[in-house]
Amino acid sequence: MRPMTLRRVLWSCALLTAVLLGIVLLALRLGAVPFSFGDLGQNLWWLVTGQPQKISTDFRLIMVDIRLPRILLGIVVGAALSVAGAGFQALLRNPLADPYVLGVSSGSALGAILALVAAPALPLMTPAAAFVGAAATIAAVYFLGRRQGQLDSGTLLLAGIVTASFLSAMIMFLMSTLASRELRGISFWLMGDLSASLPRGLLWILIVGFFAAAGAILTTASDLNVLLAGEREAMHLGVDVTRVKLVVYISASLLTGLAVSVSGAIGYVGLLVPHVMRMFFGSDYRLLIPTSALGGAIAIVLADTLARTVIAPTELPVGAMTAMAGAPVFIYLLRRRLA
Amino acid sequence: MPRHLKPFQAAGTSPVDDMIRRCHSSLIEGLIDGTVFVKDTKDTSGRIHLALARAFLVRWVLASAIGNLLSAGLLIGFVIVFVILAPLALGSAATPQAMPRENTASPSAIEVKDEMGRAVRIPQPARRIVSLAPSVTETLFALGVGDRIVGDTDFCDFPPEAKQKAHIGGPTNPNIEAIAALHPDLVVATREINRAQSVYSLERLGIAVYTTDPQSVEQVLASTERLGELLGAAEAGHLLAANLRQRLGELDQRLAGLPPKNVLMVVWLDPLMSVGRNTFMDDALRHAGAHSVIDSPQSWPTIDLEEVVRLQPQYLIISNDNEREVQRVLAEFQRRAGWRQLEAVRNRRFIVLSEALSHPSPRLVDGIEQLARALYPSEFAAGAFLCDLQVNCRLLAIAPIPLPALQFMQAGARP
Repeated sequence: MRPMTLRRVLWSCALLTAVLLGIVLLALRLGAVPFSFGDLGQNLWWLVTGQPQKISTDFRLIMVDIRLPRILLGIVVGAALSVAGAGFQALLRNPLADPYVLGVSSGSALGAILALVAAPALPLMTPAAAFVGAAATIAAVYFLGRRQGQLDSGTLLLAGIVTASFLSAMIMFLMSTLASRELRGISFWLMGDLSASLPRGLLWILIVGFFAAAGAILTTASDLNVLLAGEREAMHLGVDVTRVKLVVYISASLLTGLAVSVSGAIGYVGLLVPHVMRMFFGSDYRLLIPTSALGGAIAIVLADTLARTVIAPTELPVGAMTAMAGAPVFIYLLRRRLA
Repeated sequence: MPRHLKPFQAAGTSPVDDMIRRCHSSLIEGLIDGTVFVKDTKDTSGRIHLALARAFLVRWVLASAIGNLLSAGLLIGFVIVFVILAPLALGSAATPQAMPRENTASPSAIEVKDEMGRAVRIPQPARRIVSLAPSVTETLFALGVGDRIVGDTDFCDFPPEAKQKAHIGGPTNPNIEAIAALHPDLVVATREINRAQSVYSLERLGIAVYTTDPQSVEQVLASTERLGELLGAAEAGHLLAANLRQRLGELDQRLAGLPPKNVLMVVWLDPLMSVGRNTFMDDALRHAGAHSVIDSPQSWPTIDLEEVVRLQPQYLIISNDNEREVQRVLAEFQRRAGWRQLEAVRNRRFIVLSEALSHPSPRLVDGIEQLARALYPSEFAAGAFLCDLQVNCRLLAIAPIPLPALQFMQAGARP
């Protein structure tokens, strides 16, 4: 096994960043209203060099006001989900763990539904209530998942799964009993959808929240490596297991809550991206976390670009696209690695 | 791990213990690299502490350096992307207002409240309209402003000209980019099938969105009339509404004194969905002399078949333009247990209507007349109404058993 050096981390991240930039350019170019690369480059140049008066109205409206914020949202959501997925896989020591396994998305959806019914006229109520729902679920699962005052992976997993299915049942119950027509959009939300345009402030909150929570997980990266050997072993090797588990649980859940409250439950990314990154870059968490963040961003921007363009102008929910494209890609990589 | 290498564990909570614990975790890294082993025996505790102290120093220096650089790696990656993109997206918040767009340059605009009570600035006249629902498209065409529609949804198919317009996606998932690219000066949505989120997204781009929300037949007419006023087609709107109200009045007169017939409106078969009270469709049924057996506060309630069997509706009503789908549903009625035993199915009391009845547009009155005619054929025997019917009405009368042989009565052709 090659030693983990700073140079290796930086190179891997640089490589993925280059890929991400390429995908972002592609995503900017493609859409219901196509722009040529020449136009794109010219207008972007004007934008960067501070000559906004030269930019065409169409470009400003479609690129700057619609497409670019959406791509940025995709990057943050994808990175958050993947880092959360990697965190949960280490915390629960279960390769099947994904950001939603502990019920965060269900709690979030419940919050969103209640907001849609109670205050349909307030656009920001939905993400706010979704985040409150996520936070409440995180707290509930935390208290349910403790054993002798400490987080226990097995108990946590069971408590989370049961909470998730209970909340899903509540969602189904509400959806079939509530008379509100505002719930029409909830199916998009449950599938994951990036089409909501958010106020800029919210995007900033997301970015700051992402860096704080992902940074917290990153500080535990070397402890997570040891934790892979087992909790008892890690504890005996001097890792403060309780603290590490708490940090990872809270941070990963918060990342999930942030992502889900603005985009709904986009599936597969949080599960698959960390595994794909393990195949390419190894399972050292010091490298896995930054590469997962970039890989998740790539995956979602790519999936959303496809979702916007395959049957344009009709849009698919991005969650449908990630599941449809993600599963075959993953199976291919898995089999290739085994061969 | 060999048994004699008993792992060292600091149990207390004092700062020293904490330090030892942290040192230890760094020793472990060495251990993983295969260099350091600590033998935990009491007589060597001095050496252990020395080793721990050294490791602590190494850990402290290295960890902070590596940790920081690691996060720097992550940061650099994102910073490259964000430094370029974020200011573009986030920093431009202030600029759009600074540059007036061509379509807001129209000379005058009036501020009105739409049917959800939100203030909307509607340019006078609105020249480029995007419709977000089939019923809205129908209404606009009925008002004679169809030529000002620059975009409508994938599902807008009536009148046929609506299919020629640029499509902007479905009503629940319209493509905001495609709408913006059409430079509309007004988007008309309806609460019935559009999502609030789409409305917010458009408004954030500075596009005026007027939302209709009719919940009864009268409100459909009033909404149409109001839309006519706002779009500079007041005359056409008043005429249209007056004409439709007159037709409804004549229908009421004709059906006055007749007991309403119990019907089940089959909106969807799997799961079985019907219409609840407080919907325009329930009201439309009432106008046609029908009484929906379902009385639910939900708009589109899911119904238990047992309940239908208990209520025994006299007629089953389907409003659908898709011939194959209609045939399938009718076949299912006669095949499935439960349905088969229904009085209405055994007597083949099916009424198949065009989609006019399920759209809250002026065409709704056509649908109401079709239904009334199907329910009370004797009242319309004179045929006076036949020529009034604008829309395809396929009336499934009592027919011989084999399905393909079911007879459809053409009661008028589509315009």
